[in-house]
Amino acid sequence: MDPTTGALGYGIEYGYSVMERLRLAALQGDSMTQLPMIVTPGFEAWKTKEAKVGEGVPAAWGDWLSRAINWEIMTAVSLLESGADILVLRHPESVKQVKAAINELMVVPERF
Amino acid sequence: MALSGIQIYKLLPQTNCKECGFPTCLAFAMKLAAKQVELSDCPYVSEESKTQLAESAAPPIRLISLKSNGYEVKVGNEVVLFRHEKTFYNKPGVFIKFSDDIPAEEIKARVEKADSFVVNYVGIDLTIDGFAMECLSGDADKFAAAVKAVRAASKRPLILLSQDPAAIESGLQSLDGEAPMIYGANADNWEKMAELAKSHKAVLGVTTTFLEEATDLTEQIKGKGVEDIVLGLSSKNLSTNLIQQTQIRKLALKKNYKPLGYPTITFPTSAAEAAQAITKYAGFLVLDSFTEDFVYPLLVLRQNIYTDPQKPIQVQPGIYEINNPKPEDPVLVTTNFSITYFSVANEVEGSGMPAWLLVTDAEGMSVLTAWAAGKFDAERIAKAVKSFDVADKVSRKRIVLPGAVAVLSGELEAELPDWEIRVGPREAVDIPKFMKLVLA
Repeated sequence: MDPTTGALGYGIEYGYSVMERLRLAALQGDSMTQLPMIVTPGFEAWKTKEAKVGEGVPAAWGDWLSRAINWEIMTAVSLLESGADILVLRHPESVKQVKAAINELMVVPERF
Repeated sequence: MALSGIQIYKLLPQTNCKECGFPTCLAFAMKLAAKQVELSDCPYVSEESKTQLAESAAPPIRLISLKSNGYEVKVGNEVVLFRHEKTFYNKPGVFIKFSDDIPAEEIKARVEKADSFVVNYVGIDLTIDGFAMECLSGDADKFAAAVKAVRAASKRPLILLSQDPAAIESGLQSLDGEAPMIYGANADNWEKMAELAKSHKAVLGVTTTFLEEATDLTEQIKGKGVEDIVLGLSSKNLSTNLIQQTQIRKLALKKNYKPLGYPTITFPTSAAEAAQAITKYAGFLVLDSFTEDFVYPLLVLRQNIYTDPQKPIQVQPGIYEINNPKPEDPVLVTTNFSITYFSVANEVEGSGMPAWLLVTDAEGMSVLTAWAAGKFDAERIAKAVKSFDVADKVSRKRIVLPGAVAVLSGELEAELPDWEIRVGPREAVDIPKFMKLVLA
């Protein structure tokens, strides 16, 4: 199922909490919510002005390309933390970093 | 965790003397549990019960505040594991780290740059919270000079990073009257660090690898009379960090486990680690460099996660100019629910076409919700047109309604007889196409 989330800065907190609630409900046995969740942070993040626009924006927004990629990664990782099972991304660098994050998250530590 | 009314009742004299103003001790206990009365209203409660009740009233995660000249960063005091259960209250502090192995002039320049960073998001000015100075030189005098350099360039709160008490002591010299954090105490140096924290009124960060060690340390430090503690776990990966942060929050909230009832500090080195720190319970984030393109999305994420889910976020009603509109450009109407506003504004901006965006006061509701609740109707739109003097700004009186409330067009024609009423698309994403085809 696609909980249809917004990007960072554009209502991500709604999708974030909806996903946490869906996952909690699923774990408590609600069969309606026991489907893997697919999210599209790539599409959402690259739709934002912060990712799309490089000129005529405040200098405090920083380097355009890094900002856009960070926008995508932070959108994606937040959704990952709230229970996303499939993440559809855009930029190769985001893919690389989000994949690395997923691999790290899948490690079960022996001691913590 | 807070005691229930019954648990509190057991600690009361149970004499039903009525002097507190309630008919029975149980009634008074219920009011106490609901935090509607003060324990001092009971004249006969024993000292022992007082202590027990005071302990149970202490917040499960201690409120920690770092202070400096006019600045304060407060973290902790959280009450839930998931923001939808209530809300997250105190935003984690975002600190930028420098080390004393670079020249003082360079430290000043870099600190000044980060200190002056401000970016406006939804009408809120986002800035960083403070700086951390790490002792890498191993030289106490050099460290003290580096701390002074930071202080000369910024007034924001500081975190001193070293496991050498001599270096920390020397760094603290120039921070009299402030409440900085010193980090960190470990199994070997904790006594000296606790003494320093006590004598300088500093917050003490503990640095360990595993939760058990942190538990031992905080107990020992508390025994020395230091209660303002922050937990630092040197996690090697996202998985361990997530488990540790979640366990700390869970044990503190659900088991009222005092040895871990403190905020945490993390040192993220990537966008993924930073995003995890914000979403999963960090109290402080110390970044090892400052770049706008990293800090801006991070502060936006923090703002988003720490908004109160019980209240819709609103934008100021008014007439907004998008892409420098001229008098002949169209007026688009929407509501003041922030997500609605940003969706619409973003699409209009993305279309590249100039327009006036009229944001009505719909009490922070989205278009359909507001319409159903009677907060977004022809009368209210007409009122907004008048109160924001929209007619004076345009030469061609064209107003576009959201497609979802096409039903309002007749009434709006009656309210605004000299205006041309158009019906726009139902979804914000179709606005650019609509503007190009219909309004151009």
